[in-house]
Amino acid sequence: MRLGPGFSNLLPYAIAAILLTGAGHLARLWLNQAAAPPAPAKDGLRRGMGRAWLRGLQAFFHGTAACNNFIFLSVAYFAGIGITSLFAGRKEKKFPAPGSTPPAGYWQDLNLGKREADAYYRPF
Amino acid sequence: MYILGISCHYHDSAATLLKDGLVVAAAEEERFSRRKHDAGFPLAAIRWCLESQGIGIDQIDHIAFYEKPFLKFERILRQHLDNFPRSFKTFHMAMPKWLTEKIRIRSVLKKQLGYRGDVLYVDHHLSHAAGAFLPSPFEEAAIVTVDGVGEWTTTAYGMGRGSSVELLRDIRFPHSLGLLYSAITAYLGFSVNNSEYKVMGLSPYGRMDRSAGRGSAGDKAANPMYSKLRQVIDIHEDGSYRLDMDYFLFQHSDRMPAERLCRLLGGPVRRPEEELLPRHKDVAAAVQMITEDVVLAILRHAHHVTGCPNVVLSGGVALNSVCNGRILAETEFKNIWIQPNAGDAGNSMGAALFAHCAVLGRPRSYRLDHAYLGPEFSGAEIGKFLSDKGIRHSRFASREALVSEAARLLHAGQVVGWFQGRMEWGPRALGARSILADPGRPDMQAILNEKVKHREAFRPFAPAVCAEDADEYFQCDSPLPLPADFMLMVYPIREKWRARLPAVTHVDGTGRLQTVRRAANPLYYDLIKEFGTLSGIPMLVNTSFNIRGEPIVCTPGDAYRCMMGTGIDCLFIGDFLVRREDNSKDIWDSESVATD
Repeated sequence: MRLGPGFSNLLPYAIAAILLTGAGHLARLWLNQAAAPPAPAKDGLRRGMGRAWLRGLQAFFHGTAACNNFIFLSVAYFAGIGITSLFAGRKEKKFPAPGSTPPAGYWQDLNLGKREADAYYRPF
Repeated sequence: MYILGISCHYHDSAATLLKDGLVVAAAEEERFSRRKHDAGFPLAAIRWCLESQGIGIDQIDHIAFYEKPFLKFERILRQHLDNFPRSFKTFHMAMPKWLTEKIRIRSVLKKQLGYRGDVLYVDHHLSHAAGAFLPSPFEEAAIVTVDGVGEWTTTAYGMGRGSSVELLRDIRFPHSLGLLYSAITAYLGFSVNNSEYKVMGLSPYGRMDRSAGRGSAGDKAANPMYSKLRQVIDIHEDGSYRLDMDYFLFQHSDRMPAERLCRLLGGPVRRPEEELLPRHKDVAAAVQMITEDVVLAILRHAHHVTGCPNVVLSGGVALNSVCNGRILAETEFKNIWIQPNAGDAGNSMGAALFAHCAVLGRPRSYRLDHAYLGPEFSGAEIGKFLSDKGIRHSRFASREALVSEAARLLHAGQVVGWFQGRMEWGPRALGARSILADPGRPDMQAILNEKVKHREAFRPFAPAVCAEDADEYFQCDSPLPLPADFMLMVYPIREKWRARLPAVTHVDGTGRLQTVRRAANPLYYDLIKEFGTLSGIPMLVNTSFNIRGEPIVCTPGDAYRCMMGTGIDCLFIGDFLVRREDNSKDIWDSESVATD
């Protein structure tokens, strides 16, 4: 049976899938999101192979999702957050130096609670 | 009219259901999912709330959410902007959930519940404030909220009058007393947003000489860590404060203490099962003293601004019962009230009550005078469970017989599981899902710590005493404040009783008492009195009915599993008595699964 012009040799696809799964697993480990290994089940050979196949598929999809997330979020982080932070003026309020004049206090005006009802229908 | 309050997506998800302004059901998701501090969408808690009233989601008129998600998202983005590129990892950790769930509350509600009605968004600290004031017994009160962080606010004070709640001034992220306490919790090797109470329990082992008078100058000079830790926080006399962010990483990392904080405190972050050194105990004492300094200063300032004799507290820091025990004695406030679920879970109630009273303009009619708002199981349901599982049991003909037998077994030194009525609202077991024991036995603390709770030896157990007897055993405020009913106040045990109450007397001579009123829980009250008749001291050890690392039990199945996995001798569940020794086939060892 022919699978089509691109599928005559499956080896590169298998290698790519393994690499993707491995890279995704590493990303999940780095983000402390890796799932705990499943408890060993007492299965027969056929059932055990079926279970292993499903686990492999799951690892592949999780790995692919983790890789995609990593790539897109990295682009968003450097292009969005990075560039904005370069242009944003940062006025960081510093901790008072020893011996400096005590400030008038750190309370800020809030006045929360007396708004029109409409304000509570908004998530911002 | 039904209003459903929801808090979720940070920690301690919960749901509260209001019917015509009265709270009819409230529970945390963790009790159903069995994942401690579950942060997920509280689907099981909501389902139970609806089932308890026999209604469907289409009969809910409004859903109130406990914060403004877009404002919080703005703060998260601002954190990443300010900390670029150090926040690369936390950006990757946080964003997927934010983009798919946390800012899409309406679509989550539609998808999970099929709800298409109005959603009201109440600011995080306003939910705290409403959850503290609106169910309180006061017509007018100063409000103080202190927690880790909401949208931007970390600490706030304001005023409640009638049905209105207003927050006047605040302190904003990253300056947070709650996060300072959490950073020290992490430094001491305990889990954040989970084990802060362990730091509170550890603190009296450090140098904080309470005999010189609580909060005295000698108290602080004795502990070198106090002056060191004061370098990281600038406290103004009006209680406002500022953290030196060079000592912390939480703005951009998944770790909290910075290397500089470790150097200041004389060593690296403690590993979880490492021995606790005197230095660690001093650090715990120091952060506790600083917390008390700040909270008391804020309260004095709030009293000065509002001039009101009543105060209500909320936020995770309001669960610091050691600090709470000092408030009436050391500030000008005359009366205090704290919600039993003062942390984020309690915001589901706050948001719902705020929506009812302040947004919809309906009269304030609810007063929370007990914490039994969770699920309960009828005798028929419990009997069916026991029969179906083949569990050997006996049944009492009357409640008097049940009370009498429970008191007899407690007096004989047995550890008793107590599963009665509706589950408690809040992190403390208050006599509905409790493990009870005799406080007068010298070995009881060790038995409970090692065989039942599998927990650190330094942690104290709480005494439960009838409200009218409290003054006999404790140097408590007079009149006795209502938050003592919710185990939210720590008071010194009177000198003459300390030796006779070894299981509940902490190393500094204090006890985190729970006072019990007959109107709130008659069965529990009668048990304590009956035990007093036998032992001479009407007081019981009351600790939460759970295995270490698991939430408090919710169902009969949870309770039975917990009993059989620990050293609990017998279980009083509804009208039934189940003995561990009669069901030896189900015994298992929970120590292997006990984690934090």
